[in-house]
Amino acid sequence: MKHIINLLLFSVRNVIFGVYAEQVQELLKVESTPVIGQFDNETIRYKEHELPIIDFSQQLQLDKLSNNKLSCFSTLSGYSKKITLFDQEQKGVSTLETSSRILVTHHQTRGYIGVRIEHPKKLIAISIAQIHTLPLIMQKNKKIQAVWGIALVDNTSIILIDLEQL
Amino acid sequence: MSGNGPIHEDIAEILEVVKQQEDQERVIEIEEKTVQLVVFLLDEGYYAFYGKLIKEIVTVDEISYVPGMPDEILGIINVRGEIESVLDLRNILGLSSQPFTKQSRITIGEVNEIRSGILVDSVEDVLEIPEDQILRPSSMVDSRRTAYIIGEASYNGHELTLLDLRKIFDNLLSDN
Repeated sequence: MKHIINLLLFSVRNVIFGVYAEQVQELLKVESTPVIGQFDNETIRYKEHELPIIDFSQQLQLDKLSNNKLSCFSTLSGYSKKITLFDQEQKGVSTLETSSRILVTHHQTRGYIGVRIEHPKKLIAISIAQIHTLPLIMQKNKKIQAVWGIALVDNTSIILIDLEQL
Repeated sequence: MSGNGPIHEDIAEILEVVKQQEDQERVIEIEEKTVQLVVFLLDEGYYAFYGKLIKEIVTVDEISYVPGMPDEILGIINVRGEIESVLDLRNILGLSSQPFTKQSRITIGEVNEIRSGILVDSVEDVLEIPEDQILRPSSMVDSRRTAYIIGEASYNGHELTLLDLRKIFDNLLSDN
Protein backbone atom coordinates (compact mmCIF):
# COMPACT_ATOMS: atom_id res chain seq x y z
CA MET A 1 0.00 0.00 0.00
CA LYS A 2 1.19 3.51 -0.82
CA HIS A 3 1.88 5.73 2.15
CA ILE A 4 2.12 8.89 0.10
CA ILE A 5 -0.56 9.76 -2.42
CA ASN A 6 -0.93 12.60 -4.88
CA LEU A 7 -4.06 14.70 -4.75
CA LEU A 8 -5.30 17.18 -7.31
CA LEU A 9 -6.90 20.06 -5.44
CA PHE A 10 -9.59 22.36 -6.75
CA SER A 11 -12.21 24.60 -5.24
CA VAL A 12 -15.86 25.21 -5.91
CA ARG A 13 -17.60 28.05 -4.08
CA ASN A 14 -14.80 28.24 -1.53
CA VAL A 15 -15.01 24.51 -0.67
CA ILE A 16 -11.76 22.67 -1.38
CA PHE A 17 -11.91 19.24 -2.99
CA GLY A 18 -9.21 16.68 -3.65
CA VAL A 19 -9.20 13.79 -6.09
CA TYR A 20 -6.73 10.94 -6.19
CA ALA A 21 -4.37 11.99 -8.97
CA GLU A 22 -4.05 8.43 -10.29
CA GLN A 23 -7.72 8.57 -11.25
CA VAL A 24 -7.02 11.55 -13.48
CA GLN A 25 -5.92 10.64 -17.00
CA GLU A 26 -5.63 14.18 -18.28
CA LEU A 27 -6.62 17.73 -17.47
CA LEU A 28 -8.09 19.54 -20.47
CA LYS A 29 -8.43 23.30 -20.71
CA VAL A 30 -11.94 24.59 -21.39
CA GLU A 31 -12.01 27.21 -24.12
CA SER A 32 -15.40 28.64 -23.24
CA THR A 33 -16.66 28.63 -19.70
CA PRO A 34 -20.32 27.65 -19.52
CA VAL A 35 -22.43 28.66 -16.54
CA ILE A 36 -22.29 26.20 -13.64
CA GLY A 37 -24.97 23.58 -13.90
CA GLN A 38 -25.54 23.86 -17.65
CA PHE A 39 -22.76 21.57 -18.75
CA ASP A 40 -24.26 18.18 -17.96
CA ASN A 41 -25.16 15.88 -20.87
CA GLU A 42 -22.64 17.65 -23.14
CA THR A 43 -19.88 15.88 -25.02
CA ILE A 44 -16.55 17.00 -26.43
CA ARG A 45 -14.09 15.43 -28.85
CA TYR A 46 -11.33 13.60 -27.04
CA LYS A 47 -8.77 11.43 -28.85
CA GLU A 48 -11.20 10.83 -31.72
CA HIS A 49 -13.97 9.85 -29.31
CA GLU A 50 -17.00 11.60 -27.95
CA LEU A 51 -16.23 12.28 -24.31
CA PRO A 52 -19.35 12.66 -22.15
CA ILE A 53 -19.03 15.52 -19.70
CA ILE A 54 -20.51 15.67 -16.25
CA ASP A 55 -20.58 18.81 -14.16
CA PHE A 56 -18.91 18.45 -10.79
CA SER A 57 -21.02 21.18 -9.17
CA GLN A 58 -24.22 19.53 -10.34
CA GLN A 59 -23.15 16.06 -9.27
CA LEU A 60 -22.36 17.30 -5.77
CA GLN A 61 -25.48 19.50 -5.69
CA LEU A 62 -23.31 22.56 -5.14
CA ASP A 63 -25.27 24.47 -7.78
CA LYS A 64 -28.34 24.25 -5.51
CA LEU A 65 -26.43 25.49 -2.50
CA SER A 66 -27.73 28.93 -1.57
CA ASN A 67 -25.34 31.74 -0.76
CA ASN A 68 -27.18 32.07 2.55
CA LYS A 69 -26.32 28.53 3.52
CA LEU A 70 -22.73 28.90 2.39
CA SER A 71 -22.37 32.14 4.34
CA CYS A 72 -22.92 30.09 7.51
CA PHE A 73 -19.48 28.60 6.90
CA SER A 74 -17.51 31.76 6.31
CA THR A 75 -15.34 32.94 9.17
CA LEU A 76 -12.69 35.52 9.80
CA SER A 77 -9.81 33.07 9.76
CA GLY A 78 -11.15 30.31 7.54
CA TYR A 79 -10.79 32.11 4.25
CA SER A 80 -7.28 33.34 4.92
CA LYS A 81 -6.21 29.79 5.82
CA LYS A 82 -7.42 28.49 2.45
CA ILE A 83 -5.60 31.25 0.60
CA THR A 84 -2.42 30.30 2.47
CA LEU A 85 -2.84 26.69 1.43
CA PHE A 86 -3.05 27.66 -2.20
CA ASP A 87 -0.36 30.34 -2.16
CA GLN A 88 2.30 28.48 -0.28
CA GLU A 89 4.96 26.90 -2.45
CA GLN A 90 5.87 23.59 -0.86
CA LYS A 91 8.18 20.80 -1.74
CA GLY A 92 6.33 18.36 -3.98
CA VAL A 93 3.63 20.87 -4.82
CA SER A 94 3.03 22.22 -8.29
CA THR A 95 0.72 25.10 -9.03
CA LEU A 96 -1.79 24.91 -11.87
CA GLU A 97 -3.43 27.65 -13.83
CA THR A 98 -6.66 28.76 -12.24
CA SER A 99 -9.32 28.31 -14.91
CA SER A 100 -12.07 25.84 -15.73
CA ARG A 101 -10.80 22.44 -16.73
CA ILE A 102 -12.14 19.09 -17.78
CA LEU A 103 -10.67 16.32 -15.80
CA VAL A 104 -10.60 13.10 -17.84
CA THR A 105 -11.06 9.93 -15.86
CA HIS A 106 -11.58 6.31 -16.80
CA HIS A 107 -14.75 4.92 -15.32
CA GLN A 108 -14.87 1.14 -14.94
CA THR A 109 -18.35 0.79 -16.44
CA ARG A 110 -18.80 4.03 -18.39
CA GLY A 111 -15.34 4.24 -19.98
CA TYR A 112 -13.73 7.68 -20.38
CA ILE A 113 -15.70 10.55 -18.93
CA GLY A 114 -14.92 14.21 -18.45
CA VAL A 115 -15.65 16.02 -15.20
CA ARG A 116 -15.84 19.76 -15.42
CA ILE A 117 -14.24 21.47 -12.44
CA GLU A 118 -14.03 25.18 -11.69
CA HIS A 119 -10.71 26.15 -10.17
CA PRO A 120 -7.93 23.57 -10.31
CA LYS A 121 -5.26 24.68 -7.90
CA LYS A 122 -2.49 22.31 -7.04
CA LEU A 123 -1.11 18.86 -7.16
CA ILE A 124 0.07 17.89 -3.69
CA ALA A 125 1.65 14.83 -2.14
CA ILE A 126 0.19 13.87 1.21
CA SER A 127 0.76 11.09 3.70
CA ILE A 128 -2.13 8.71 4.32
CA ALA A 129 -1.80 9.72 7.98
CA GLN A 130 -3.35 13.04 6.90
CA ILE A 131 -6.48 11.28 5.66
CA HIS A 132 -9.47 10.82 7.95
CA THR A 133 -12.64 8.84 7.44
CA LEU A 134 -15.93 10.71 7.70
CA PRO A 135 -17.29 10.81 11.28
CA LEU A 136 -19.79 7.98 11.81
CA ILE A 137 -22.86 10.22 11.86
CA MET A 138 -21.83 11.65 8.48
CA GLN A 139 -20.92 8.26 7.03
CA LYS A 140 -24.39 7.02 7.93
CA ASN A 141 -26.17 10.06 6.49
CA LYS A 142 -24.19 10.90 3.36
CA LYS A 143 -26.25 11.13 0.18
CA ILE A 144 -23.28 11.38 -2.16
CA GLN A 145 -21.25 8.19 -2.22
CA ALA A 146 -18.34 9.86 -4.01
CA VAL A 147 -17.38 11.70 -0.79
CA TRP A 148 -15.00 9.23 0.83
CA GLY A 149 -12.97 11.11 3.42
CA ILE A 150 -11.27 14.25 4.61
CA ALA A 151 -7.61 15.21 4.24
CA LEU A 152 -6.09 17.72 6.63
CA VAL A 153 -3.42 19.85 4.98
CA ASP A 154 -2.02 22.84 6.89
CA ASN A 155 -5.09 22.63 9.16
CA THR A 156 -7.39 23.03 6.17
CA SER A 157 -10.00 20.35 5.49
CA ILE A 158 -10.08 18.95 1.97
CA ILE A 159 -13.12 16.93 0.90
CA LEU A 160 -11.92 13.78 -0.87
CA ILE A 161 -13.88 12.67 -3.92
CA ASP A 162 -13.79 9.28 -5.62
CA LEU A 163 -14.18 10.04 -9.33
CA GLU A 164 -15.31 6.45 -9.96
CA GLN A 165 -18.44 7.08 -7.93
CA LEU A 166 -19.50 10.37 -9.46
CA MET B 1 -12.74 -14.08 80.59
CA SER B 2 -13.90 -11.72 83.30
CA GLY B 3 -11.32 -9.16 82.16
CA ASN B 4 -13.18 -8.73 78.84
CA GLY B 5 -15.76 -6.37 80.32
CA PRO B 6 -13.98 -3.06 79.54
CA ILE B 7 -12.90 -4.39 76.12
CA HIS B 8 -16.51 -5.15 75.23
CA GLU B 9 -17.43 -1.64 76.23
CA ASP B 10 -14.66 -0.27 74.00
CA ILE B 11 -15.84 -2.40 71.10
CA ALA B 12 -19.39 -1.26 71.65
CA GLU B 13 -18.24 2.36 71.61
CA ILE B 14 -16.17 1.78 68.49
CA LEU B 15 -19.13 0.11 66.77
CA GLU B 16 -21.32 3.02 67.73
CA VAL B 17 -18.85 5.51 66.24
CA VAL B 18 -18.49 3.39 63.09
CA LYS B 19 -22.27 3.18 62.77
CA GLN B 20 -22.60 6.93 63.14
CA GLN B 21 -19.92 7.43 60.48
CA GLU B 22 -21.71 5.06 58.12
CA ASP B 23 -25.00 6.84 58.71
CA GLN B 24 -23.31 10.16 57.95
CA GLU B 25 -21.83 8.74 54.76
CA ARG B 26 -25.26 7.51 53.75
CA VAL B 27 -26.64 11.00 54.33
CA ILE B 28 -23.81 12.45 52.22
CA GLU B 29 -24.52 9.92 49.48
CA ILE B 30 -28.14 10.99 49.40
CA GLU B 31 -27.06 14.63 49.28
CA GLU B 32 -24.65 13.85 46.42
CA LYS B 33 -27.39 12.77 44.02
CA THR B 34 -26.73 15.68 41.78
CA VAL B 35 -26.21 15.98 38.05
CA GLN B 36 -23.80 18.16 36.15
CA LEU B 37 -25.31 20.19 33.34
CA VAL B 38 -23.78 22.20 30.52
CA VAL B 39 -26.16 25.12 30.06
CA PHE B 40 -26.35 26.87 26.70
CA LEU B 41 -28.49 29.34 24.80
CA LEU B 42 -30.34 28.53 21.62
CA ASP B 43 -32.74 31.00 20.02
CA GLU B 44 -32.88 32.91 23.35
CA GLY B 45 -33.98 29.78 25.23
CA TYR B 46 -31.93 28.04 27.92
CA TYR B 47 -31.07 24.41 27.22
CA ALA B 48 -28.69 21.87 28.75
CA PHE B 49 -26.98 18.57 28.12
CA TYR B 50 -25.78 16.22 30.86
CA GLY B 51 -22.23 17.35 31.62
CA LYS B 52 -20.88 13.79 31.68
CA LEU B 53 -21.69 13.49 27.94
CA ILE B 54 -19.89 16.70 26.94
CA LYS B 55 -16.18 16.08 26.43
CA GLU B 56 -15.13 19.50 25.28
CA ILE B 57 -16.41 22.95 24.39
CA VAL B 58 -14.64 24.68 21.50
CA THR B 59 -14.90 28.08 19.88
CA VAL B 60 -16.11 28.19 16.29
CA ASP B 61 -13.12 28.89 14.11
CA GLU B 62 -14.42 27.39 10.89
CA ILE B 63 -17.02 24.82 9.91
CA SER B 64 -16.18 23.17 6.59
CA TYR B 65 -19.11 22.35 4.37
CA VAL B 66 -19.40 18.72 3.25
CA PRO B 67 -21.67 18.11 0.23
CA GLY B 68 -24.55 15.66 0.37
CA MET B 69 -25.37 15.86 4.06
CA PRO B 70 -28.87 16.37 5.48
CA ASP B 71 -29.72 19.78 6.92
CA GLU B 72 -29.20 18.50 10.47
CA ILE B 73 -25.47 18.16 9.78
CA LEU B 74 -23.64 21.44 9.25
CA GLY B 75 -20.21 20.13 8.33
CA ILE B 76 -16.90 19.31 9.96
CA ILE B 77 -14.38 20.96 12.24
CA ASN B 78 -10.76 20.21 12.93
CA VAL B 79 -10.10 19.83 16.65
CA ARG B 80 -6.34 19.49 17.13
CA GLY B 81 -5.98 17.23 14.11
CA GLU B 82 -9.16 15.22 14.68
CA ILE B 83 -12.22 15.61 12.45
CA GLU B 84 -15.56 16.06 14.22
CA SER B 85 -18.97 16.38 12.62
CA VAL B 86 -21.06 19.41 13.63
CA LEU B 87 -24.80 19.13 14.14
CA ASP B 88 -27.24 21.98 13.64
CA LEU B 89 -29.23 21.82 16.86
CA ARG B 90 -31.48 24.65 15.71
CA ASN B 91 -32.55 22.55 12.73
CA ILE B 92 -32.95 19.40 14.83
CA LEU B 93 -35.25 21.23 17.25
CA GLY B 94 -37.18 22.98 14.48
CA LEU B 95 -35.85 26.45 15.29
CA SER B 96 -34.92 29.06 12.67
CA SER B 97 -31.38 28.89 11.33
CA GLN B 98 -28.82 31.61 11.96
CA PRO B 99 -25.15 32.12 11.08
CA PHE B 100 -22.77 31.60 13.96
CA THR B 101 -21.32 34.52 15.93
CA LYS B 102 -18.33 35.17 18.18
CA GLN B 103 -20.38 33.81 21.10
CA SER B 104 -21.21 30.56 19.30
CA ARG B 105 -19.61 27.40 20.65
CA ILE B 106 -19.39 23.79 19.58
CA THR B 107 -19.99 21.31 22.36
CA ILE B 108 -18.34 17.96 21.63
CA GLY B 109 -20.67 15.22 22.87
CA GLU B 110 -19.99 11.51 23.18
CA VAL B 111 -22.53 8.75 23.78
CA ASN B 112 -21.57 5.07 23.45
CA GLU B 113 -18.43 5.96 21.49
CA ILE B 114 -20.42 8.08 19.01
CA ARG B 115 -18.98 11.58 18.97
CA SER B 116 -20.12 14.77 17.35
CA GLY B 117 -19.97 18.49 17.77
CA ILE B 118 -23.20 20.37 18.36
CA LEU B 119 -23.40 24.07 17.47
CA VAL B 120 -25.04 26.26 20.10
CA ASP B 121 -25.52 30.05 20.29
CA SER B 122 -23.41 30.37 23.46
CA VAL B 123 -22.41 28.28 26.47
CA GLU B 124 -23.70 29.96 29.63
CA ASP B 125 -22.70 27.73 32.53
CA VAL B 126 -21.54 24.38 33.79
CA LEU B 127 -23.36 23.59 37.03
CA GLU B 128 -24.50 20.84 39.35
CA ILE B 129 -28.10 20.61 40.47
CA PRO B 130 -29.93 18.04 42.60
CA GLU B 131 -31.41 15.38 40.34
CA ASP B 132 -34.88 15.86 41.83
CA GLN B 133 -34.96 19.43 40.56
CA ILE B 134 -35.34 18.10 37.05
CA LEU B 135 -39.05 17.89 36.38
CA ARG B 136 -41.08 16.23 33.68
CA PRO B 137 -41.43 18.37 30.56
CA SER B 138 -44.61 20.38 30.27
CA SER B 139 -47.07 19.31 27.61
CA MET B 140 -46.94 22.78 26.04
CA VAL B 141 -43.62 22.04 24.31
CA ASP B 142 -43.53 21.87 20.49
CA SER B 143 -43.96 18.27 19.34
CA ARG B 144 -40.73 18.18 17.29
CA ARG B 145 -38.76 19.09 20.39
CA THR B 146 -40.67 16.82 22.78
CA ALA B 147 -38.87 13.74 21.49
CA TYR B 148 -35.52 15.13 22.60
CA ILE B 149 -36.49 16.51 26.01
CA ILE B 150 -35.58 14.68 29.21
CA GLY B 151 -36.98 17.28 31.58
CA GLU B 152 -37.08 20.86 32.73
CA ALA B 153 -35.48 22.78 35.56
CA SER B 154 -35.09 26.34 36.70
CA TYR B 155 -31.92 28.32 35.97
CA ASN B 156 -31.58 31.85 37.40
CA GLY B 157 -35.31 32.33 37.08
CA HIS B 158 -35.39 31.00 33.52
CA GLU B 159 -36.88 27.78 32.27
CA LEU B 160 -34.10 25.31 31.43
CA THR B 161 -34.76 22.43 29.04
CA LEU B 162 -32.60 19.33 29.45
CA LEU B 163 -32.01 17.65 26.09
CA ASP B 164 -31.39 13.96 25.40
CA LEU B 165 -28.12 13.78 23.45
CA ARG B 166 -28.41 10.01 23.11
CA LYS B 167 -31.73 10.39 21.28
CA ILE B 168 -30.33 13.09 19.01
CA PHE B 169 -27.47 10.78 18.00
CA ASP B 170 -29.72 7.69 17.75
CA ASN B 171 -32.10 9.51 15.44
CA LEU B 172 -29.28 10.44 13.09
CA LEU B 173 -27.91 6.91 13.14
CA SER B 174 -31.23 5.18 12.58
CA ASP B 175 -32.09 3.90 9.11
CA ASN B 176 -35.20 6.07 8.82
